Amino acid sequence: MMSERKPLLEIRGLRTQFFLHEGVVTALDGIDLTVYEKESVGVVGETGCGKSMTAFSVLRLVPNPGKITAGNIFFMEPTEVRQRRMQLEAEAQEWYRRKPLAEKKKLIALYDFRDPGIRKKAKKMTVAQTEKVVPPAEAPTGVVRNYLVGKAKTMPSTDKLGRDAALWTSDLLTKTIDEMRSVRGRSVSMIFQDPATALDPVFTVRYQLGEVISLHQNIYDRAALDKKIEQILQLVRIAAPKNVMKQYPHELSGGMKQRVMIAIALSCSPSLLIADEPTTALDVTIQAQILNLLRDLIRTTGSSMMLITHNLGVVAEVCDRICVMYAGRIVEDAETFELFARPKHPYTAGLLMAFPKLGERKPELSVIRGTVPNLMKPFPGCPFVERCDKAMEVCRKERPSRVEISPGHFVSCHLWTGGENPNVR
Amino acid sequence: MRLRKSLNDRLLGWKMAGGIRETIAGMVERGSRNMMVVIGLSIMIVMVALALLAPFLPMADPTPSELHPEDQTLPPHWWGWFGYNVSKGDGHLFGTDELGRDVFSRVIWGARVSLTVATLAVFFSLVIGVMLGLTAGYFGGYVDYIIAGTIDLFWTFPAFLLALAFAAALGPSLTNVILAISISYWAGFARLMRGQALTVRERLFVEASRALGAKNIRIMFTHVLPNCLAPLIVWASIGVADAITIESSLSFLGVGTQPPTPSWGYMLFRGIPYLEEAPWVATFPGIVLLITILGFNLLGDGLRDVLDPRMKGMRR
Repeated sequence: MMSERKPLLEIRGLRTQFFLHEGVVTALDGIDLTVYEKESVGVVGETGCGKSMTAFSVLRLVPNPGKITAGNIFFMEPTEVRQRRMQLEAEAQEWYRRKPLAEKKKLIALYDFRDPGIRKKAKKMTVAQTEKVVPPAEAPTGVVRNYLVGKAKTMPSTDKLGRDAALWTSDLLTKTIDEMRSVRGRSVSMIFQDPATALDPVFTVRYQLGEVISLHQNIYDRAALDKKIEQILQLVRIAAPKNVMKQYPHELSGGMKQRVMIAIALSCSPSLLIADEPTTALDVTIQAQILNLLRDLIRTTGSSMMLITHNLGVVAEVCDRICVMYAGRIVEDAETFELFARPKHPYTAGLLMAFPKLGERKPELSVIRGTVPNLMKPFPGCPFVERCDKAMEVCRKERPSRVEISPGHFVSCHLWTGGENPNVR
Repeated sequence: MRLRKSLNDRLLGWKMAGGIRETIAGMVERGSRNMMVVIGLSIMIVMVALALLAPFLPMADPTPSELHPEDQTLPPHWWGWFGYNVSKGDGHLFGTDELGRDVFSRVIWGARVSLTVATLAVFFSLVIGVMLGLTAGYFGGYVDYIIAGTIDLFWTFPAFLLALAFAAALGPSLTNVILAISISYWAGFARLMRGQALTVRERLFVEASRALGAKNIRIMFTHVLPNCLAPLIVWASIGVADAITIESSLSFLGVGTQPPTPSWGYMLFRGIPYLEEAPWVATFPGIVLLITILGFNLLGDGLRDVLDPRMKGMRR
């Protein structure tokens, strides 16, 4: 069922790092996340686990000194191009695999660790440094890219499809700043956490909506613009759009502001809507309204949504699929019902346990012991190992690979790589 | 009341059109309710009108070609009402100065010089300051480093000293005075703007509009700048007053406007030695200067309230 649907956003091996004076913080460490068309995906996790950073990486708005150092973000890639690209990439992996160790080291030293988006010369490594490199089993993004670019040069110029596939034209990370700007707001839109500060206090609602619409759709006619704004405001169920249009953000209530934010985000009917904790700043009744609104809008407009939250109740209500993030990695990815019924990763299980149920009184709320590991220190194994009750010897040494347990249910945990069926609860 | 109602009706019709016009209409409406703006604007309008109409007003020549010794330091004729001996004084509203020139007409003609110099100088330094400060504050990094360094370099010198140096170097003329004041005064605006931009650029709506695909230049001018306007306007209104003072001082030192051309500051300083026997020579230009500066400051304070949309609908 999964494979039939067309992927809209395909994040693969995304790594975002912050280069600070104190060292390198790996905020995202190899994220694999696919958002299919007309699907809403929830991203849950603790504070600082990289949820928002995923969103900012997709929009290429990672704040300084952050950089996306590896991975791809394919967005709206045509199916044929995707198939061709997969072939080419498999080819590249094969080519890399066959290389002798010394050459692998050289390749890694030359082409890895660079921002795939901005063409920038990587630091030249000395011979001694090159010697120390441990080449990974799979070719990293930079090496694959280098191979594919070389490959594209040999392709005939008539082979548009092949060139698109080889040059990763659908990859948001290869787009120029101008191209990226036209993606933001038009194809990928974002709703922010705090509607009170995300709206410019000195302009009316109509100005702020009009700005986005005229920016992306080139409508400059006042009457047409007004009509459009009114329609959008009606779409987000604002009772008196004509009045609200003329008001300033401070004159609106929190729920209204968030509706206006949603209206702004949806004004250019984006294919993907990223909602970064859209209900955190709102009270419970308004939360429910906003969530219902978001769900209905996603259904009617046929766009996809990535809902970022730390509230499991919210994702349970709205999302088709849930990704659980921990310390910059996605530890579990499953359909909503499946995840709640059969959590496979100990962290997910712990999260669900910690979630208090209504009408049930426990003497003590269950917590996951320990804290999130320091992201500045690279850890070879599973990031959850220090807090995990089921930790094994292998967890400290090896990074768990992503395993598909049942169709559409992925988990990165050593408990599941062994083949037997352990009890994670 | 009736007038305001009809005005509001007209503005309401205008308002429906929306956009920037709506904003302006709203500002006019709120401005008309703000006493400070009304008073400040009235003073400004009167001063500007007097300055513009100076050649057509039935006044004595401010710079007569021949001076009459018997006209020297005549008191204003209305001082007689307070028991002052005004037997010689005749038709001089503000009296005459030490050379026998009519102070009133010199004050009016002086308004032309002082207002032109002050507003133009503030305008130019505002433009320079806002551009540089906005660029520095918004982009940060090396751009900020260089611009902030330049600002500090200018800021270390007192504005007056710098203006004096520039005016002396450029030679005495009206244009050069404007230039000198602008060059020495922009640093304050730039510093203010930079500080404001630094805070505003961190706010979420800037990030939001970036996420919605706005260019840097667009964010700078449509989101950051309007959010920094309030202190800038107040600073500019004080700056006008400051510029008038600097211009006066420059004239006094002989590097500003040249003597026969009337200028408030020059008149003030020339009147000081006669303060005991002929107080009107210095007093009246001083009072007019005071009222003008007060007007500008009131306008600035009022505008800050008017431009802040949160004050909308409030009665003052």
